[in-house]
Order: sequence, then structure tokens, then C-alpha cells
Amino acid sequence: MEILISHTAGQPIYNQIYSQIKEQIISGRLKADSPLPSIRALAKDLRISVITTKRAYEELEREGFLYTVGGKGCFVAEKNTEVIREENLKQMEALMRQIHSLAETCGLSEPEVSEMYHTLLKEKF
Amino acid sequence: MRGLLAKDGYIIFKQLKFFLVLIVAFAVIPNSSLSGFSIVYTAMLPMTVMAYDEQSKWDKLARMMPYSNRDLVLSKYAVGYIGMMGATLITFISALVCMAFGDGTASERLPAILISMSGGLLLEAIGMPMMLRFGVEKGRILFFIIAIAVTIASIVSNSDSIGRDLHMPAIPGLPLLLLVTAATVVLNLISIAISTRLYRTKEI
Amino acid sequence: MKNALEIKDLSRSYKDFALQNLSLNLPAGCILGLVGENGAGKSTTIKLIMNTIHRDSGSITVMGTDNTSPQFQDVKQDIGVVLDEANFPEVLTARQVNKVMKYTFTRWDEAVYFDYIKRFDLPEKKAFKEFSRGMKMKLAIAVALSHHPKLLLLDEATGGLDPIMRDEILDIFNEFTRQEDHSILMSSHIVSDLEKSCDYIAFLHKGRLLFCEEKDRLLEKYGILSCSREELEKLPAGTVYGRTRSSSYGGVEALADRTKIPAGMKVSHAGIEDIIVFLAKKEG
Repeated sequence: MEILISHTAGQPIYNQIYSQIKEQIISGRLKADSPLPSIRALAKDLRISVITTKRAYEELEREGFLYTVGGKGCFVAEKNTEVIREENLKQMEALMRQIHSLAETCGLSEPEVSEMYHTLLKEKF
Repeated sequence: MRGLLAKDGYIIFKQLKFFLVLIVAFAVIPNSSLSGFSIVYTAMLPMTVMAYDEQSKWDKLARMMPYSNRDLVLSKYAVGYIGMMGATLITFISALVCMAFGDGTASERLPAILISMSGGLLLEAIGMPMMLRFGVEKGRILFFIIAIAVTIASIVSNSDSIGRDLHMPAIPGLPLLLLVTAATVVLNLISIAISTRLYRTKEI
Repeated sequence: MKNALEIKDLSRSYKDFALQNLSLNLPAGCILGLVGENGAGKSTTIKLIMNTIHRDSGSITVMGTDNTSPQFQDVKQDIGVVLDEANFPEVLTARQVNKVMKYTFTRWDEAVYFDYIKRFDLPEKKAFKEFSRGMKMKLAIAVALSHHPKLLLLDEATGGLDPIMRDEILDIFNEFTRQEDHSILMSSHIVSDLEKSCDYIAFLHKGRLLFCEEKDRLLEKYGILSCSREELEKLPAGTVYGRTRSSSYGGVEALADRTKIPAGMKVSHAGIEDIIVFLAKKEG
């Protein structure tokens, strides 16, 4: 598992851990049922606060990305396709908003944007 | 308490070598007054050790370690007692050796030992609470005053001429001496109790 | 054991200084940084925790034991202390300290001690009075770590050390808390050290605790706002904390709650030192 923390980026540290682990679970780099480092070990290895790693893990557990076995630690949960679809939809929505604001800046209308999309699809595929 | 005594031992053997040599020398030399000095001066060892402690602010740290207040106080007295016993033993052996070599006056040193011990114990009993409460600087002055008084008394009681003038026996009787020594021992026990209480309330 | 340290309403007054109603908890397994200016009460707090000075009111519980109870004597075996100025008698050597400590702590580990001595490059047979300030500190740290303690109380333990050594020491403290029943309370005015290693930051100012918060939450919450004086005055109450810093060109800098700043205003990162300086300015 690879985690890179930046102290100066605007993103809160717990969020950095949360998103990086989540991304690796979704992409399949972290396999289902593989063990994750303990909250404390992760904190000490990254030299960050235990409270923060705990927060990240708790959020991941709440969203079903990991599960805890008492006395043994935390493990990657089965890929929850429902949740992943949800994630991807959210990402698409965010990108669409971006496209929309860019289109506004360029003065493109809605039909013109759809045109662009269809042309792109035909070209690529 | 062993740790505290070990620390004091290191300080004494490192820094006070000259003092120690003097004490041993005085104890060995066949002279009642010198033996007296020797024993009484060992009662001053605690004071010197405490001065080194204060310099490093050791007390501040020691109080945070698992020593009880009683240990901290008792170990200081113990340094004096151990020193006195050492000096007394050396004096005693020296006197016996002298007697074996036919020195008649050596037997006079024996009562002098008890007098000196009483003097030393008295010093500790009075001086230690002062120092523990008020620190080494102030307590030191009082200690010296008492030490001088006791030393004078030791010389006087060994001096035949003054003894004759006062119509006192040249050497006080053994029972009286033992009584006096016992009294100073009791005084020490009281002193230790007082010191422990004083130390408990002292803030460092 | 939930909390390594529980302090409730602790008060102690002197002629010209008073520690007032200090309450804070150190959860087990965490590192709490106590920060404040000289004379704020950091050393007083540590002395009160160890009961070497007596409190006027309040309660202190260390690892479940009241610190005025006779059982506290045994708890001291589990506490490692490093003080700013107090140390072993200067005539002693590191070797002699080992002997003394062997008879003091039931769990004294000679091997661990000499390991640290070697690691810190300290001479074994030289008397302390020949040590530099940094070396004396390192020895005190070695002693504190060598009797398998569960709680470390450190009063300005990294002062007098160069940055490389400080980093190594902070690493050691980080490792120390790998075990979940090991905790540290460290006071320092080198805020960068605390920012690096602490889970909680407690800010003591003139005897009062201004805050005790999770370090990461502090860093998330606050930012430094740069704007004009007019813009500042237009902000809703509760956005800005502490005093503001003005330049003679009409600009101001203020400590602000990131979540309450309107979009578009210029906010930069606020470190713990910034937070403390801005907040202290107001109170002071």
C-alpha cells in the first residue's frame, strides 16, 4: 500500500489518507480481505497523529471499504460495486459541472456541447 | 535508598578525597582530640554532599523519582552515620594497636570516642533539619557554630587541667557517657522525624 | 486504561503568578504538547503532576491513581521525567548514574541505557560538568527511557539540541508511543517540534489554558486571511480570532476559521506557531 502525505497541500491529512486508500481499493490494487496496517502502526510509520489515521479508517469503515476483526485488525472489504458505481457517478457529475462552467466561459450552448461529445465518441470509437 | 547512598558515595570519594584522608589520618594518630575531630567532622559529610546536590538541582529531579520523602531524608543522615562509624572504628582499632604496643595513654582515647560520637550525633540531630529546611547555605552556618562548640567541649573534657579545676574526674564515668550517647541517639530519631515532616512540606 | 493523565480544575497561586482551573486529559497512547511562553505555567504544571509542589485545589490522576495517594509512589516507577535544568550531581559519570538508577528503578534496563549512551555519542566515564548542555539533555533522556516507563513527562527536553539531534529524539518519542499504553506529555517553546510529533496541542498563557485541541483539527480549522481593513470589518462575527496584524499599506492579516471565510478571499496555511501567536496577541 502506498500513501504519500503532503503537509502543505490544502487537503486535510485524514482526507489524504482516506482518499488514497479508497482509490487503491476501488482500483483493485488493494485486494479484498488483505490486511491493512493497524491505525497506530500507520500513524507512526507516516509520522502523523494516531487520531488522524483513526479518523480516516473510521470513515472508510463507515462507507464499507474496510472491516475490523476484533483483536486482529482491519481488512479490505469486498469491492462493493454499488458503492463504486455511486463514486463514479459522483465523479462524472463533478466533471460535468466543470464542463458546464467552461462552456459558459467559452459561450458554448447546450446543443453545441452535446455535439462536441457525440463527435468525440465517433472519433474515439 | 541504596541508590541515594551510592550517589553520595560517588560524590564523597570523588570530590572529598582530601577531607577523607584527613579524617582517616586524625583517627589513626594517637591523640584523643584529633580522634575527636575526626569523628565529629564525619558528621559534616552530609552537608558537603548536599551542597553538591543543590548545585545540580538534584533535589528537583530526585523528588520525581520513586524515592519516598523518608528515603531522601534518611539517606542524608545515613551518610553521616556511616562516616562516623568508619572513623570510630579506625580510632578504636588504632587505639587497640597502640595499647598492644604498650602505649598506656591509648586507653584514654576510648571514652573520648564516645564523647565525640555524642558530639557528632548531636551535630546531625540539630544541623540536619536546619539544612533540609533552609538549604545548605543557611544551615551551614549553624552547623559550623555547633561543630565548633562541640569540638571545644571535646577538647575541654579531655584536658586534665580544666578537669581538675572543675573537680571533675579526668575521665567521666562510663555509665554517664553511655547515657549521654544514648540520649543523642534518641535525639537523632526525633530529628529524623522532624526533618521528614519538614521536607514533605518543602517546595522545590 | 483510558487516560494516562486526568487534570481537573487544577489551581495553584503564587505571589505574582497563578495557574487557574486547568483541566485537560491525556488519552493513553497519545502525545500532548504543552506550549506557552516562559512563565506561562508549563513547569508548574509538571511539578504539580508529580506532586513536588502542592496544589491549592483540583485533582490530578496519573494512570488511574490520585497523585496524592500513597500508591503514587509505585506509579513513579512507570514515569520517566526529563527536566529543563535539574539533573544528576555534576561529579557523576554516565556509568555511575547507571549504578544509581539500578538501585532506584525496579525495571531499570542497563542494556537499553548503554545502548542510548552509545547512540547519543556520550562518554561513559566523563563527569557531567564537562558535558555541554545538549549532552546533559541527551543523558537525561537516556535515563528517562531506560526503565521501561509508560508515561514520559518532558519539560523543554529538546532545548539546547541541534535540529538533527532533535529530529532523532522526536523519532524516538514517536517510536515510544507505538505501544498503545505509552503516552507523552511534553512542554516546549519550540513549536515546530510539537507540530511535528504531537496528537494534541494545549496552549497555556499566563496561567490559563486557552485551548487543548487535536493538532490536525487545529491545522484544518484555521487559516491566515489576508485582506483589506474594510473587508475584515464586513466579516460576520466569529470568523476571525485574536488580534490582527496590519501593514501600513492598508492590508491586514488575521487568524480565521476557514469554513466561515467567504469564497474568493485569500487564505494561507496557518501553522501551530501562527495560531498561538495570533491568539496570544488577543489575550495578552
